[in-house]
Amino acid sequence: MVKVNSPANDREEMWQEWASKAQDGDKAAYNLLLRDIVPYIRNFIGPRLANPDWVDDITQEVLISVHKSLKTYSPDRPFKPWLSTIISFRRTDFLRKHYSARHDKQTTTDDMSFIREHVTDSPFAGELKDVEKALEEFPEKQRKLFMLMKIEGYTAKEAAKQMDMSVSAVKVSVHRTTKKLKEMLG
Amino acid sequence: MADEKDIEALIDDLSGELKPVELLAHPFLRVTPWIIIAFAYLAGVIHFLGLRMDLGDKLHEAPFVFELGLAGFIAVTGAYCAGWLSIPDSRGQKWLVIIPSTMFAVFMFWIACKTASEGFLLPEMHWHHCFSDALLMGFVPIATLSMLVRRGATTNPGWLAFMSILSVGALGWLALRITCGDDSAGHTMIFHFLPFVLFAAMLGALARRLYRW
Repeated sequence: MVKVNSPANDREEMWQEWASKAQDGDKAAYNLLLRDIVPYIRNFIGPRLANPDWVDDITQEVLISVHKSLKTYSPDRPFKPWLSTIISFRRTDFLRKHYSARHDKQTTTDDMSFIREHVTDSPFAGELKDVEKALEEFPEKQRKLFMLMKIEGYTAKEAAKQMDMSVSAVKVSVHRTTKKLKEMLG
Repeated sequence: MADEKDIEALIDDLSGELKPVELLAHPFLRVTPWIIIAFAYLAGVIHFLGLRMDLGDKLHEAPFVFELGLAGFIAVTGAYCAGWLSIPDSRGQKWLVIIPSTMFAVFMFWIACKTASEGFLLPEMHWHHCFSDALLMGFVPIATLSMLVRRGATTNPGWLAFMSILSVGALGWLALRITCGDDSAGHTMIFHFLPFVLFAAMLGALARRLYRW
């Protein structure tokens, strides 16, 4: 196979060389390597994350992981697959921890800019109150089910258990509420 | 939340504390000594427990030899896979897990056929010596294999745990078939197979913690 000289190939070879030197203790090469892989890590994880603020957190985790596992890199093999596996692993690990702690279901009301940017689409920021107001017109049970599933993020199964109802009844109720709300709010 | 400055500082810290690293040897070279030691350990345990009385006759039975050969093959390939999986990118050899997994499926099919033809009789439930023998045969190999793979940095803790227990379980099965004279399906399933299922359950539950890095 003919190897094409492209910027990507050059970079790959550069990373391989720097990683190999880093394994020998070359601090300057290691510094260059870590700085050079940061944009790659960001590009790799960025588009697939719900919250862009997590990118830097995961990037840090990846850099620490690269440091910890440097001895496992084989200099005769390409660097990118080794790095990509670590990035995927750390991203999955981060998301697993995040979602298992249900951090995605919590936010602060102190920072309104966060709510504007992440809780509702920014062009529609401020409409959260309208939804709440509209919900007041629904029976309590129907309102509670909607809040559980659509605002607090519970699954239909969890909401059904909490409200002592069947899963299908919960789904039907929430569907009707959503439909009615759409009519009410336009 | 981390920001650009934190990342810059982190890079400076990491490169500042860098020391020459001793490269992790090739998985094949790391695992081969473990295989030799594990087989030697089991030989010692077998010597201690004693061989089954009819082993000479059994070794002339093709199904018995096939079963032992299959278990030995799973033990060896599972261990090598664990070695490869202990490296982040598995050096491009993750596909190797197909080999012991397929052999394990064949093994299970073999056991199922044997059970179907011979019938399954639930043995009397009490603490049978085979159970403690299995623990004796499994504990040291699984502990040493876990220490070996922990020197790496796995990105597949689940597969790594599966391959480790497959390897150790197959070794234990092989050793138990050589020491225990009871070939009934009920006995082998409950007292030979179940201990390793328990090992697998424990290792599976602890895999992410055990192989954390």
